[in-house]
Amino acid sequence: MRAAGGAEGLVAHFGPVKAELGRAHQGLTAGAGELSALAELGTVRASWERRIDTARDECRSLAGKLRAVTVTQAEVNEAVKGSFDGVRVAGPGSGPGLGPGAGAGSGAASGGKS
Amino acid sequence: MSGPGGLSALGATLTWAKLREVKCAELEEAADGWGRAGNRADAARDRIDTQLVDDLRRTQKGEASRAAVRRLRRLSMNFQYIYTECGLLRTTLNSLAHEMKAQQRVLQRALDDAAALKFTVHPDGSVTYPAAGEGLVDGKPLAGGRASGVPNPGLAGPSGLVAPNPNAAKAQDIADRVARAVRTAADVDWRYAKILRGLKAEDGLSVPTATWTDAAGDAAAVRQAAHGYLAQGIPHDASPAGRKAWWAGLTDEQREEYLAVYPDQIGNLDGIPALVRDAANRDNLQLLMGKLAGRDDGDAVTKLAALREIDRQLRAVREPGEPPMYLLGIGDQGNGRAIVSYGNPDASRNVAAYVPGLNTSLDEEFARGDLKRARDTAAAAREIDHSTAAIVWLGYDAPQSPDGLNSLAVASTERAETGAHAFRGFMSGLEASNDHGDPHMTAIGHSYGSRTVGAATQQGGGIPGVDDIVLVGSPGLGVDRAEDLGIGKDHVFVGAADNDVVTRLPSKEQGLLAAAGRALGPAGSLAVDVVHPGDDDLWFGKDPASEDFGARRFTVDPGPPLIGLGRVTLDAHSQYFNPKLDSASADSIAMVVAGRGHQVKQEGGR
Repeated sequence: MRAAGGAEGLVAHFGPVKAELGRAHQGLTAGAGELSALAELGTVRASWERRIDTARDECRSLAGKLRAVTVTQAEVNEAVKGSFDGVRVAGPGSGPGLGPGAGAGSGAASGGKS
Repeated sequence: MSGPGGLSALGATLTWAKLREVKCAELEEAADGWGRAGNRADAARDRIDTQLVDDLRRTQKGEASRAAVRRLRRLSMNFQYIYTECGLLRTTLNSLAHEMKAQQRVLQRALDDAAALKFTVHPDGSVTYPAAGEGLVDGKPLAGGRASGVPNPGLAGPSGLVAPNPNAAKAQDIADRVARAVRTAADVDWRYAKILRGLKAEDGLSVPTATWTDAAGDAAAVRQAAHGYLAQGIPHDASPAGRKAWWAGLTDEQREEYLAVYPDQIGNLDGIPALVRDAANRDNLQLLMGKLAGRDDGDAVTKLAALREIDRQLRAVREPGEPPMYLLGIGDQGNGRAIVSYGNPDASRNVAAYVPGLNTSLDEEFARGDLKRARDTAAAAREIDHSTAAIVWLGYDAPQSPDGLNSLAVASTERAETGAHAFRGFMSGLEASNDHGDPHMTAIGHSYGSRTVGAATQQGGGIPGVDDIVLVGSPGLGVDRAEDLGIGKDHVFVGAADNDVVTRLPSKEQGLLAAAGRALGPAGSLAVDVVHPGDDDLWFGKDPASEDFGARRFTVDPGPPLIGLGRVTLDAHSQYFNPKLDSASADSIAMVVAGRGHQVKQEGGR
C-alpha cells in the first residue's frame, strides 16, 4: 500500500515540471537574441517533456498495479483468515493450536480439514 | 570539416548589435529550470531506491510483486538518466551564458572606446573616424575615414601604406575588437548548438546500455565546453583540508553543477566528504559503463565486467547487519581504479584502508574477491566497535605479471613509489573529511601492497593520520625495521603464513622455490622472483615477519602447502582476510582495525 502511495506521489512530484520548464524559458522565448543554440533548445525541451511524461504515465500505471496487488494480497489474507475462522468454529478447543504465527501454508491445510 | 562553412554562414548573421542583445540572464534562468527538473528526477530516483523497492519487498511477495520491483528499477534508472542529462543541459546553458558574457564585455569595451573618441561604429562593424593631425604640406587636419575590422588581425597582411591620421590606427583597433568579439561569439554559438543537439532525450522509458554510451559522450562534450566555466574552479592543487573548505563554501547550485558535470573529478578528489564522493561516483559509474560498453577491446571488456559487478553490489538490498557500501573512487585509467568503503569513513571512529598487491587490476576477480576482503574486515571489526569503516583502495597501477619479470623488477620501485604518493593523498583526505577529531586509522598492505604501504611511510611525514599498520603476505616493504615505519614498532602487525611462498626468505628455500616457480608457470616464477630478487634485496628489505624486523607477528593459519594433493597452489598467500579459511588472521586484522591491536594474540618471529 505504501509503495502504491509512493508511486502516486511520484506522479504528483513530476506534475509541475512542464510548467516550471515553461516559466524558466519564458525570457528566452520572449526573445533573448538570435542564437542558433536557442533554436535547438526548443526541440531539446520538447523531447525531455515527452520523456518525463512517459515516466509519469509509468508511475501512474504502476500505482494502479500496486494497488491491485495489494487488494489481491488482502483477499488472500482474508481467505486464509476465513479458513482459520472455519477451523475455530468446526474444531472444539482449536484455539490454542493456531497461534498468530501460522502461515498461509498451514492455513490452507486447516482449510482442507474444515 | 563542416565547421568553417557553418561558421561563416552564422558569422554573417550575427552582428555586434545582436551580440549585445543576447540576454545571458535569461539563459541562466533557463539553466536553473533544468537544474530543478534534474533535482526532481534525482529525488524520485532516491525515493524509489531507498523506500519504494524496500517497502514492496518487505510487504509483498510473489510474481506480481517481483514484476513491480523490476518496473520500479527501470523507472529509477530512467530518472537517473533524466537527472544526468538535465544536469548537463543546465551547465551547457550556464556555460554558454558565461562565454557570451565574456564576448559582450569585449564588445562593450570597444564600443565605449569608440564613444569616448566620438567614432561611429556602423552596423557592419566598420568604424568611421574624424579628421585629425595636420598635413605636412599645408598643415590642415588630415581627412577622416572608415576602418573595417578583421577577426584575426594577425592574419591580415600589412597594407604597406601607413595612414597618417592618428585616429586611423585607433579606429582599426576598435573595429578589430568588435569583429573578434562577433566572430568568437558566433563560434561559441555554433559549438553550443551542436552540443544541445546531442542532448535531446530518446523516446521511451528504458535506458539501454547504448543510451548510457551516448550519455557518456554527451558528458565528455559538455565537460570540454564547460572547462572555462567550471573545471578551472576545482582546487586540484589545494590540500585535502583546502578542498574540503572549498566544497563547504560552494552554494547548493554550484555543488549540483559540479556533481552533474564533473562527477569523475569530484568523486575522486581527496578531502571531499565521503557521501559526496559516493554520490558522484555512483553517477559516474553509469557513464563509465556506458563509455566502456561502446568499445570492444579486451581492456574495456575486463573493466566493464568489474564495474557491472560493483554496480550490482551497490544496488543489492543490504542484509541486516551488513555494513553499508560507499564508492569513494572509480576510474578506467591505467589498470583501472576503484575505492570502496564498507561503513561511512567520515562518520567512523576507526578507518582502515587496504592496499592490494601484485596482479590486482580492475577486473571481475577484484570486484568480487578484493571487495569481499574489505567487507569481511569491516563486518568483523564492527562487531568489536560498530563505528568502523574498512576500505579497499585500488588507487594505483599494481604490477602485473604479464609485464614480464624484468619489467616488474623495474616497476617494483616505481609503482610502489607512485602508488604510495596517491595512497598518502587518499589517507590525508580521509583524515580531513572525518568527523572525529582524531580518528583511529589503519593502513593494510597485502603482498606487493605492503611494499606500497612501506614506500608511503618513507615519503614526507609518513602516511597521514595512520596509527597502525598491518602487513600480510608481504615480500618485504623496503624498510628493514618496524620502528622505521614512524608509528612505533608496537603498532606494526605482520601476518605471514608458513606456506605462503611470497613471505619466505630467499635463503631458506631457494631450491624449492625455484622448482615451484617453474611448475607454476609465469605467476609462480614471478612469485619466486619477488621473494628471491637476486641481488636486489634492498627493494624488499628484511622479512617483516622476522624477529629482527621487530613488528608484532600475529598468529595465522599455515595455509595449504605449496605442493600438496598432487597440485601446486598459492592459496596460502590469499586467505589472510578470509574468516572461514583463516579466522585467526581475519580476527587479528579486525582487532587492529577496531583499535584493539594490543589484544592481538602474538607469535614469535621467524
